[in-house]
Amino acid sequence: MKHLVKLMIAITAIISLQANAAKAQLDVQVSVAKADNGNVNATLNITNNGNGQQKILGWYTDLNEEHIFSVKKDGVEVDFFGPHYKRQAPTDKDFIKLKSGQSLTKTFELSALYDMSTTGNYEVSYDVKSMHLYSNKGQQKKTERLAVEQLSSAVSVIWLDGIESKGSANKGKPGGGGGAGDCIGGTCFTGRCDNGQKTEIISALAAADQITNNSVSYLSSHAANNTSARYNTWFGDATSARYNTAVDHFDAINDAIDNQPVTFDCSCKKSYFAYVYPTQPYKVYLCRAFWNANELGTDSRAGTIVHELSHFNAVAGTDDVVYGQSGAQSLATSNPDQALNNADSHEYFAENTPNQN
Amino acid sequence: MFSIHYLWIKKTFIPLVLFISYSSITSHKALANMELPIQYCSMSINSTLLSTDQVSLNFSLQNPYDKNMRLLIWYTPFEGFFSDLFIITNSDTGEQLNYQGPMVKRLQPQIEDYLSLSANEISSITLNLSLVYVFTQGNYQLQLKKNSFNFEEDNLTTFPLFCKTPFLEFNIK
Ligand SMILES: [Zn+2]
Repeated sequence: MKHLVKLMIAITAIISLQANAAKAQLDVQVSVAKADNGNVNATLNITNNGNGQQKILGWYTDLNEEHIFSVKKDGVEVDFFGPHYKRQAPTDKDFIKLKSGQSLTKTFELSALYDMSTTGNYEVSYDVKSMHLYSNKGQQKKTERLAVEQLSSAVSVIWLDGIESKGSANKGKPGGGGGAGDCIGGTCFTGRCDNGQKTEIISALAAADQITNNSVSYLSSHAANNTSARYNTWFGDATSARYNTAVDHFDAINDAIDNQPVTFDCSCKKSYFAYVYPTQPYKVYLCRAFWNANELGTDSRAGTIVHELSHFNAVAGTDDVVYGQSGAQSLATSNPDQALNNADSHEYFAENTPNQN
Repeated sequence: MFSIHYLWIKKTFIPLVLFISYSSITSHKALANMELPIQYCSMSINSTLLSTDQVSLNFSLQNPYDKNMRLLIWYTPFEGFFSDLFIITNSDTGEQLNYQGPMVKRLQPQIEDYLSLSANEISSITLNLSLVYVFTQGNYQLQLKKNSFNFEEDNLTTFPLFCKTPFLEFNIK
């Protein structure tokens, strides 16, 4: 008798699964396109081809809410960096209603949420399995509540050229050449940097390397008793102790760019340029003003990287004594020792804009 | 005495201050050095929840004007830990604690960098100092590093005010 009841429940479960399968009259399509900056846009289209109204749980139509796309590179599932929320059971208002013939279209940028920075064939499809995909099961029978519902699309394929690291930055870095985590040539990314941002960061880092190399060569071709306008403008009067501090600082910044595992985080949405935790090398958080800045020149992306790297205790341990060019110039005159402890003074010396000998 | 002083401030001092600030740059500078009475900016440490991982500091500031103002939150406790906000000294060793939080390079403040305060509104924030300063058992002295606050009107006239916050002492067991 007990076995019979179990069997009956099993049969009911199968019937309800079939009922749900029959209910799925939503047609899902995904198309993938590459933008000029390397970003990858997936357009999701869900159409109700049935006669009646259909419901679908809203968060399964949004990549910012759920892992709704399967992305495979050369057949291997690519890690998803997006959120996974622990949620309450859905209520009616969490469902999107589609009338017969109606469709929903949304576009999502994929490279910020999936690692798509290396060369290869990427297969993208919509693939969702859930117990609550189509309806609020709160009032349904237990067997119906337990059935898993599934909705998927055909696979859309796109070929991507990887993002290459350029210039001499990164050449001696550990873990270079891809592999561990979301890294390109020894430079790593966290906080959802998309492919366009990764390309811009790698270019800015190469520019930071260039202005740092230029600073190092200035300092090696001058001396404490032979400084010029460029040094005196940003660091004031030289003594041999001060000059050696400047040499050490720029050697350390150069070493960080060339040899240390620098990580850039793109999650900051604040008005700032960038920030670091001085005790946590070599992670640099980039914010809105960074993305609006030029690559080279005053308060540029390259200079911001020099500024931020100088803050790490493991590099030069600088502070923000004053901000801005006029403040840094006054500091050089009034307190040369503090100028060598000021991050912006290092940045402006490296940017050397307007150009001074 | 205390309440008379407060009333005088509220009814007479503020309109006078506004008038002066519009009238000339020199008097605007005088206003910048004007010190608000301590009840406009208070700061305290929650002594019931005090441990090496929990040093809760409550900071509150009152809009001293009888009109809507906005406050630039940069370098104030309202921004949270994006700069070294406090001078904290271990009274047993005399050593100042190193700030371990983020150091930020900034450009121009944007709309979200201001806190809107209606007339005489008080705004408060609680920060756990142990997130960015390393505490051990002992006696500490604390003060706010920057005591000037930039209030702005919608027309972008800035009123920098100096508000001396209390000097706090606490013990972590
Ligand atoms: Zn800085």
